[in-house]
Amino acid sequence: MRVTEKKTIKVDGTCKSSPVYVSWLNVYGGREHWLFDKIQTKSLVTQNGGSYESYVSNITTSRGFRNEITKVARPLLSVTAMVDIEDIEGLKTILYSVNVEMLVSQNPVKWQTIFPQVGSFRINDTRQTKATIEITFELADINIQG
Amino acid sequence: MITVTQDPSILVNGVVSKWFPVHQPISFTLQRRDMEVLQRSRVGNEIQFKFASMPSSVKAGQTIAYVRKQSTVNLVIKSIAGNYIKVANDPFLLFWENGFINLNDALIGYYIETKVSYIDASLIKRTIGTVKTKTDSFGKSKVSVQELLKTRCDNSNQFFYNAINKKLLNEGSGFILDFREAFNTFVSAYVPSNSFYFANGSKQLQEPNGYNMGEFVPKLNFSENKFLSVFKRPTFFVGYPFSLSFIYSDLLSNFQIQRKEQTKGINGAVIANTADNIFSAERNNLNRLMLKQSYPSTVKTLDVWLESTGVATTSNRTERRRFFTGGFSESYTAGATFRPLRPIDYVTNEIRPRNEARFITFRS
Repeated sequence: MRVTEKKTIKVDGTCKSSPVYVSWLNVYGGREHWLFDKIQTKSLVTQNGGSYESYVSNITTSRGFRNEITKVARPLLSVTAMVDIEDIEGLKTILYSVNVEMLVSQNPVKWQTIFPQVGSFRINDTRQTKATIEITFELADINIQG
Repeated sequence: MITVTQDPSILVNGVVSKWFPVHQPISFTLQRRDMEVLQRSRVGNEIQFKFASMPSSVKAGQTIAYVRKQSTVNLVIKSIAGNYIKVANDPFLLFWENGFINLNDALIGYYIETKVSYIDASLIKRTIGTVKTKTDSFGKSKVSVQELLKTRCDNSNQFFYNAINKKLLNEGSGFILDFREAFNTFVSAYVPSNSFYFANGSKQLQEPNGYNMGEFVPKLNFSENKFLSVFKRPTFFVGYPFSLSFIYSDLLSNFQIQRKEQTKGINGAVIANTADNIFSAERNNLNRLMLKQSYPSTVKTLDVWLESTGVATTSNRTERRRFFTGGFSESYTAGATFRPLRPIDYVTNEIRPRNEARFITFRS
């Protein structure tokens, strides 16, 4: 006798350009998966971690007054996907998941924790049967001296 | 004596669901019952209670709480003789059922201690911590254990996508409570509860079954139990690791469960039907279910579900069951003590039964 619902799984075997595979924890404690592709924009947000001015005894030979204490560098990755309208409800949950991970190695399977930017979900056209969505992920900060 | 008067399990389709989201209250109500009243009568201008025995610490002049289902009253003991206690006359005391009394003055500093344990990968019961609670005028006390259980959860993806189904202890596991009472210098022995289960999740407003995962718990008598997915129709991207989360529930014990798949082409015509046994050793935890994969390119969708073959399997765990207030209790071997989740637990490719030598090294 059947003990669970019949879950229909769509099989997507199409070729993807610039794929980014993501898994995240949903509110019920289950794990979801999605493959983003097509446009993939990489950017970097940096911040100054402060600087100080040092005493210069000889201005003729000095290299400058100002010294950096540290910097913050956070790579960003914008991804898009062409999805069925019915998938949008599921994909939205990635924005409030407490754990989102990006696949970095297939064998063995390895993940890296990433962070969707708050409110960065955009549905471009809901009148169609398919829509393009865009999410920006913050990747792990770069470790810098300081 | 302590009884569990209320636990968070509920009946779903006639069977008991004992699965709870760990980010919401998991509360048990316990009741202290010091001495059952065997008989009540009016003797002269006093009411006399009869008990099975009388502790020597009970003295005249002490206050006792007389609890019946509807009421609790504080009474002062006027005299004691053998197994009888006499209190001032009040016809109200003879109403309703016999009830019981709690010895508020005789048992000094009374509290209930609840030990919270989880079941680890090798089915060993390991203590997380204890909760001490005082009782109210009805002898009741409420114990919430979710905060302790939460320490066993880890949000990261610990599956290596190398088995048809796999339990992941960081996503949910079994737990057992042990109760004991303490007063004066006395501490009673622990009495274990039934096994319960938690999942690293939470329920939404106005969803059925409240703080209970009932609709996600596979039951043999109901065929629409849900997978733990928010997608109406999830997508499997060929070549990428994919799994469906489900609760491999205690209700499926002793039956061989199969993963059934029906693959379909672009017009919805059936291409193939497959059935594969899943590992029964992974039950009583949150599980990941993988697809069969390696489909021909004509496959566009597939239906996947779990089915019981109705064939009994031999149990891989201790299934000695003993009766306990409100149900049955499964026995587990007691392990040492709590070890917090540390990244080092997952250096190896799988969550393996814990190594005892390592365990002692890291004991905190």
